[in-house]
Amino acid sequence: MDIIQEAFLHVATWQTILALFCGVAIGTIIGAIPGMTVSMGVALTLPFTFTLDPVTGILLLLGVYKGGIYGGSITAIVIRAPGTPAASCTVLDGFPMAQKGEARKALEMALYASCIADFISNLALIFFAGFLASLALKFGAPEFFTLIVFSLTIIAGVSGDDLIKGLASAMLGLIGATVGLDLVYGTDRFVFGVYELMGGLSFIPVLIGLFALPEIINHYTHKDRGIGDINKIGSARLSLAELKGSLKSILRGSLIGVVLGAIPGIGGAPAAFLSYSEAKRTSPNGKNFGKGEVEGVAAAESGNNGVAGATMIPLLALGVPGDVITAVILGAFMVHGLRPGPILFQQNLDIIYALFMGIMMSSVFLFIIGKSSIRMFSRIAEIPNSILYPAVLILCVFGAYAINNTIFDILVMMAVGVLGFGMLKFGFPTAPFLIAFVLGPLLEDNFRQALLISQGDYGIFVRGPICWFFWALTVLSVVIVLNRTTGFLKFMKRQPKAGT
Amino acid sequence: MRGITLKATGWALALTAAFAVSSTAAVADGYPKKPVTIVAPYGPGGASDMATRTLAASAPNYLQQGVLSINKAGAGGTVGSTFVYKTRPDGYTLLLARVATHAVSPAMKNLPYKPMEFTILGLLEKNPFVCATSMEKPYKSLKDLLDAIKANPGKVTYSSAGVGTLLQVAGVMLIDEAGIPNANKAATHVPYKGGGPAALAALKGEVDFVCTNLSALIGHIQAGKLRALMTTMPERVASIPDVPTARELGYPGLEVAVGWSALVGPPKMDEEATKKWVDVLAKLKEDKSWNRMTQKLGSIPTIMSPEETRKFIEHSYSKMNALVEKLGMKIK
Repeated sequence: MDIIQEAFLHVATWQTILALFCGVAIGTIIGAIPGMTVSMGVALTLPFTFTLDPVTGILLLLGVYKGGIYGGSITAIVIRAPGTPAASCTVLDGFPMAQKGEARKALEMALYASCIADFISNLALIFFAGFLASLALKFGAPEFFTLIVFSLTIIAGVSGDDLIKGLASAMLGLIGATVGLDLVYGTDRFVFGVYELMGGLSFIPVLIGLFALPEIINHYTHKDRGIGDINKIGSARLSLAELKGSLKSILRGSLIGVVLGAIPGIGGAPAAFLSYSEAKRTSPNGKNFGKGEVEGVAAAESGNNGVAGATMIPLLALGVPGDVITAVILGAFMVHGLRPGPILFQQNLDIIYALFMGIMMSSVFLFIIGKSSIRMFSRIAEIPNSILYPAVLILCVFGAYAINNTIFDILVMMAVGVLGFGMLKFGFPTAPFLIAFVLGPLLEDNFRQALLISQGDYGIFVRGPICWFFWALTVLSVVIVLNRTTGFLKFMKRQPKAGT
Repeated sequence: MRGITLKATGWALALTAAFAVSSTAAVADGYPKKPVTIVAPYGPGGASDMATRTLAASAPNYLQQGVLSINKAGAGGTVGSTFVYKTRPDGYTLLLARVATHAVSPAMKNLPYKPMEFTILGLLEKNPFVCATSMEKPYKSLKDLLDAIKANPGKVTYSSAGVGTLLQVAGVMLIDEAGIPNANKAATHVPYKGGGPAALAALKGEVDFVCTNLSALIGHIQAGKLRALMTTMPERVASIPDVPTARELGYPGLEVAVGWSALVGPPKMDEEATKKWVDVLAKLKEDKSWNRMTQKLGSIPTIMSPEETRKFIEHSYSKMNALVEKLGMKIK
C-alpha cells in the first residue's frame, strides 16, 4: 500500500502532469509531420529529461511516443502522406474517405480506435507483462521467419481485384528491400558504387514516394481540374453505430498489436497491416476495404496503437528494448542510474507503479488532445488544391530530407514517386509493395540467422509449437485466397465482360 | 503587380542571405558563429547516439554555442562517416567516430573514406567489453567455452551487431588468442542488425555467446540471466567484481577489443575550430555532469589529447588489420 502511495506522489506533481500533457501534444504534432518519425521525436526530447526527475522525464518521452503513433494517422488521412511508417496502413481507407468528404469521420475513428487500443495495451502491460515477456523470449529466428511468412499472405488481402498485379508489386518491394549491405557477408548489393545506397533505401522516402507523390503528379496531369478545386467539405461525423460496428475489429486489432508489440523487433507497421487484413477477411464490410471504409481505419489504427504500451513490456520486464523508441527510453532510464529489468521491479517498484499510473493517464490526454485537434486538422481537406498540393509537395521533400539529413533521400523519394505513379496508372496496388518492403528484410535476416544457428539444418523451421502455429495459419490463409480467386474466376467466366 | 512585389521580395531575401554568408566568412576569427552539428553514424538509442547526446548536452557551456546531434545511420556507420569526410571543413559538422567506423570496418573493407585523414579532436570514452553466455548453456568459464570450440569446430555460435563490427572481430580475436586454428571458422558467426538484437540473441540462448559492451549486458548479468566469462579491461570492473579480466586469464592481447568513441572533424579542418574543440574537450574532462552521465551509461570517461588519440586509434586499427590479414577476413 505504501508503495502505491509513494508512486502516486511521484505522479501527482504538476511537473509530471504537465510533462505528460506536453509530451502527448508534442508527439501528436511530430507524428503528423511526414519525415518526423516518432523515434526522432523521442530522441530529440531525450536531452530535456536529463535534468528532470526520472518519472517525469520518462513519462514525457512516453507521452511523445503515444502522441506520435496517433499523430501519424492525421496526415495519412488528410493528405495521403503517412507521418510515421506505422500509419501507412491507415492511408488505405483514410485517404479515400477524405476524398469523399469524410475526413472528419476518419480522423474521429482513428482517434477512438487509437485510444481504445492504447488503453488495452496499457492494461496488458500492467497485468500480463510477465507472461508476454516470457512469450517474447520464445521467439527466435525460426519463429520470426514463420510469423513473417504468414504476414506476407496479407498481400493477397490488399491486392485489390488482381492478385497477379499485387504479387508483381510485392516483388518490386522485395527487390527494393535487398539494396544495401549483405547481412552475413557484408558485400554490396545493388549499390553501384554510391555510398548512400550502402545503408539501403530509407523507409520514409520510399513511403512518401509511394503514397503522396503519385497523388500530386496525378493531380497535375489531370487537365480538367480547376484551379480553385477543393475536396468536398468534411462535416460528416462518426456515429455511435459506426463505432459499435467497428468495435470487434478494434478489439482484435488491439490484441494483435499487444502480442506483436511485446515481441522485440517487429514494430507498429506489421501489426497495423495484420489487423487490417484480418478485419477485411472477417468483416461484413470487407469488400469495401480500400475504398474508404471506416472500419478499415479502425482496424489499422487499433493495430498500430495496440503496440504502443506493449513495447514497454520487454523493456520493463526484461530490460530489452524492442525497437528504436524503447532503446532511447532505455537511455533515459540509464542516465538516471535506473536499469529496467527484473531488478527494477525489486528495487524501485514505486517508480514502476508511478510509470503505470502515468501511462494510464496518457491515454486520457491522448483523447483530449486528439479530440481538440480534429476540428483543425479536418479543415486541411478544405484548403483549395492549388494551395494544398504545392504545400504537400514541400512537406514531402522536407520529410524525405529530414529523416537522414541527406539530399540523396529526396532523389529516392522522387524515383519511387515516379514508380508509384506508373503503378497507379497501370492499376498496380501500392500496399503489397510497401508490405514486402517492410517485411522483406525481416524475412531474409531471420531465414539466414536460423540456418546459421542450425548449421544449415532446415528442420529448425518446424522446431516448436510457435512455428507450427504460424505454418498452419499460412496454409489456411493461402487456401482461403486460392478459393476466393478461383471462385472469382468462375464468376468471370459467367460474365466475360464484367469489370470492363 | 503581385508578381513584381514577389520578385522584389525574392531579391531582397537573396541579397540578405548573400550578405549574411559573406559576413560570416569575413569574421571567421570568432568560431563558433552558429550551432555545431555532431553526426552520430548510427540510429537513435545505441552507444554512439547516447555519447553524442550527452556531449551535446554539456559542450555548449564551454563552446558558447549550441550543439546539435543528428543521426545518419546506415551500412555500419559508413554512411554517416563518409558524409562528414566529404563535408566542408569549417568546423560546423563533426563526427562521433567509433571503434567500428575507424578501426574495424577500415581493416575489413575498402571504404569511401580514409579514417586517419579525419581531423582528430580527442577520445571521449571507452566502453568496457565483456564476453557472456546464457546461464542455461553449459559453459561455466571461458575455458569451458574455448574447449567446446576446440572440440567441435563450427558448432559453437556467437552473435554480433553485423559484419565489420567489434562484436564480430572480438569473437574471432578471442579464439585466435587461445591458439585455435582458423579462428574465423572455428565458431559460427551469426550477425544481427545492431548490438541490442545481438545481446538479446545471447539472452534467449539462441547463440552460445556474445562479446559486446558491458552496458548492453549488465542488467542481464546482475539479474542472473547471463554469465559473464571475461572482460577486456586491464583491471576488474567495479560493477562485476567477480569476472576475470583477459589479462588474468592469460590473453592480454584481447585488451585491444574495447569499444570507444572519439570526436573528429573532416580532413584539414579549420585550425581555429580545431583549437577551440580541443580546448572544449579539455574542459569537459573536468565537467562533473558530463562525467556523471557518461558513467551512468556504463562507459568510462577517457578524454585524451589529439596526439594520444591518434596513437590510440592507430594501435586499435593495426591490431584489427593484422588479425583480418592473417585470417583472410577482408571483404572483397
